[in-house]
Amino acid sequence: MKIYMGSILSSTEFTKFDLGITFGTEVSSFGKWIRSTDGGILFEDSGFGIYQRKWRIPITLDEIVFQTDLRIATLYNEELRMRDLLLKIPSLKIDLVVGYLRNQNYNPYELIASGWGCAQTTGIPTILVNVAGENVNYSFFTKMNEFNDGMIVLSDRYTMINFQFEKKEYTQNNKEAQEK
Amino acid sequence: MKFFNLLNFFFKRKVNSFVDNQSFQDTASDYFGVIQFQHQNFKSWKEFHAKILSNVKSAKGQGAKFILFPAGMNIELYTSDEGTLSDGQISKAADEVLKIFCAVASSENVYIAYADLVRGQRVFHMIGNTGKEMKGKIFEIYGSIVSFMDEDIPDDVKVVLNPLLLKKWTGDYESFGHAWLFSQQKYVYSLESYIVGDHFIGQSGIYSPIEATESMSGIIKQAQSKILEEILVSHLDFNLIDEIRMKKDLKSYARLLNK
Repeated sequence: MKIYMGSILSSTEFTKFDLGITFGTEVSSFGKWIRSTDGGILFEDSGFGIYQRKWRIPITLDEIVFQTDLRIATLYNEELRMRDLLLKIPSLKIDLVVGYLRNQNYNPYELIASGWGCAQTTGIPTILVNVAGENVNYSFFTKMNEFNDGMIVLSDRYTMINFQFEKKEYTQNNKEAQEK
Repeated sequence: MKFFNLLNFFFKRKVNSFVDNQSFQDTASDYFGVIQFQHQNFKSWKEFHAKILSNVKSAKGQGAKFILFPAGMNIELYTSDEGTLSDGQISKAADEVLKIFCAVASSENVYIAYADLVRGQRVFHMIGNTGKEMKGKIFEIYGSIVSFMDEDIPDDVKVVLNPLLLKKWTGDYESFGHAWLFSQQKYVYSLESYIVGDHFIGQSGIYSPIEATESMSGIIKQAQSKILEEILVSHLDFNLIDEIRMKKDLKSYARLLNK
């Protein structure tokens, strides 16, 4: 699956991708996009809003999940470092985590703790949108193994990845088990 | 891997200068030490005793009242590979190691934690400053709650301990991150200790949440080498941990997590 990360304007450099991840712009575009803002995060399909999550403490865990071609969990700031919350994410049968981290200044340690740490703890590939002051950058982490350290993309302004996701089966039974 | 090297370089310049300049006079009881232990294959338990005593005296000389040794201390007394030893021989070595640590803790009036490695599993030991082994999952040491690293630690734990043993052919970035990440995700101090040298490798350290360090790295002290013996000692400010936890508003999520 091809995922573009960066501004919608820069996305014209890439001919075709399955999902775009961007920050803040009000400009809509064709295709499937996840748009994070300082207030929340949206999933849009050719300009139509399908899912939305405001950045606040969720009432239920369902609030953080976007059911698209992939099952996506959305997390922000402190949530990306809450071990107890992260350990619950795999039970939601999530394929991809999209995280949003806002800080005043770029801090690689905070970036690693939030994005890489989330991927290590959940075992789920994690895209992190990091807004540090005026700069927006994108990272992609996976669970590390004996061949790689889990840092696939680190703080790029825009980039595209081609990643084979291991899609998890999500059924009504999963939902009932999770509610119990 | 390159990125971790860069992080280490960055921290060595900024953090060490900050930490090293701290006074040992603050509150001596809050000084925690980590031994990065050099693997030696001791010929006798007396030699091993002398080495442990020497390590503890060095750490104590830097102010440490609590000292963490790595996992696999029992293998230091093995004359051959664990696979060829009987359960009785393994148990005897473990008893001998425990006796030595108890004697040193008592004579030096320090708390000591370490782990044996039995058939690939870690067996944790916490020894009080009276020289007696403390039982249980959490321990109160100088007014703060200490535990070995575990997913089920209670919220009042302020320091977690992670004695480890890592074979050299394991990816060396795996020696980074366990305790450091736990500190970032549970808002605790963490102490990590490795046996190094021969066919073992590791980088011991003392870590905190990034918000508790001036350079925002979460690294208070970290061994300079992955193969040589080192002793790390640092003062841990528990009030700082309380302040950070309060700012993070972690309790608001308790309902969601069924806590």
